[in-house]
Amino acid sequence: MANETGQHTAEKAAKLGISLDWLAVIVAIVLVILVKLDLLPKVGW
Amino acid sequence: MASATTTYSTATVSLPRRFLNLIPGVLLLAAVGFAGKFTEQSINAYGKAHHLTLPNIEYVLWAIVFGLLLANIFGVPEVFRPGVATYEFWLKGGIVLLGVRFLLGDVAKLGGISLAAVVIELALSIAIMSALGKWFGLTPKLTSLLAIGSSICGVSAIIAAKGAIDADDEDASYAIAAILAIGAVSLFCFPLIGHALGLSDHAFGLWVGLAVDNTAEATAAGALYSDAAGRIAVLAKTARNATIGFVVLGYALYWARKAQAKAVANKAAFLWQKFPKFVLGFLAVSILATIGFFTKPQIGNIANLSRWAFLLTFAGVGLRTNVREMSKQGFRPLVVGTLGELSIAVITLGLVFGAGRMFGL
Repeated sequence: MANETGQHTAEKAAKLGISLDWLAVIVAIVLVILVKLDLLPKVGW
Repeated sequence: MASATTTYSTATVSLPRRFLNLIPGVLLLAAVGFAGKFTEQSINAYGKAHHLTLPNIEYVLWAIVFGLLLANIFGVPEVFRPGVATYEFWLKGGIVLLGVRFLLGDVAKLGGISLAAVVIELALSIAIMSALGKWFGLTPKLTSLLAIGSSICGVSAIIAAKGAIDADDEDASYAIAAILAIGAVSLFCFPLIGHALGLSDHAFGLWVGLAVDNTAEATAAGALYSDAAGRIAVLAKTARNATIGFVVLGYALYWARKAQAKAVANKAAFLWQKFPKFVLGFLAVSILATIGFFTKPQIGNIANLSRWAFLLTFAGVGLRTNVREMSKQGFRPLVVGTLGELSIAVITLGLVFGAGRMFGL
């Protein structure tokens, strides 16, 4: 069970992890550009 | 957990379908996170309205606790799991956006202090973990994985190292479970200890960034202390994450020399492959903020976007913590991990005090 879990989690996460980093950077930069161009409404908290 | 593993098997599913599969889980992250924020605000409003001094419990804690309760009492149904797994995406995106709140000079100063502390921490933690692993009779590769996980950045580092040193799946699984269990406990213990010791926001953030293994837990523990501590924790942890490639490369070369892992043909390519790319995004946004690319309201908007991304992350930290599954994992790796982490926590606290005296943190 632990074996199976480790294999799936590690392999899939490793595959996802590589693209995930870039995807996060791209989405964040797009948001930054939208804010810079005043194309996003005011973001409250 | 077996069902959780099947959730990841998405190779045959089309891209639009995969995207749609994420929606329920992302909505759950948002609901849990927002419930945390709503609870904090409601308690504060109640205290004000009734002139009561109630403890200010941050939304971070509420979001994690709500997620933990949901996941461990009712379980996370299959339909939500792909979306819940995106918490790491929100974490990395949030870190990139957080770059707007750092001037490059601060990044260089605090990042430099963190990196110097990481080098010391790394040497000591690897020595401690190796001794403990031997003492408790763990396999050398499991010990390596625990040392990498505890000295650099938790699960990501273990996953990166697993392939590089040809470790068994079972060893990786044990190391991940141990690091996750310790991370969950650290999340609650560190802020209590920090308050008891009266640490400043800077000192606490640096300590958490150096000592808590997973980036999500380090971010949450910092934010639990204060907003400023959360920012410093992210910066210190990001500096620590940046060293992942070097440590994994070191271990890969060590095990290759012992003929128990594949040789590393191109070291530069290896380092680049293991380097966490979101660090570059964080630096890019920080550079833009430093050169005055954004107006004040724009900086506020980007910082708030980062907060929302972290809100989803904190909900994910609770939702993906399965106490029952963790307790099923090996006892000895957990003991070794806990003892090692305790030592690292004490050592890094000493480093933080030292850095505080030298740099006035």
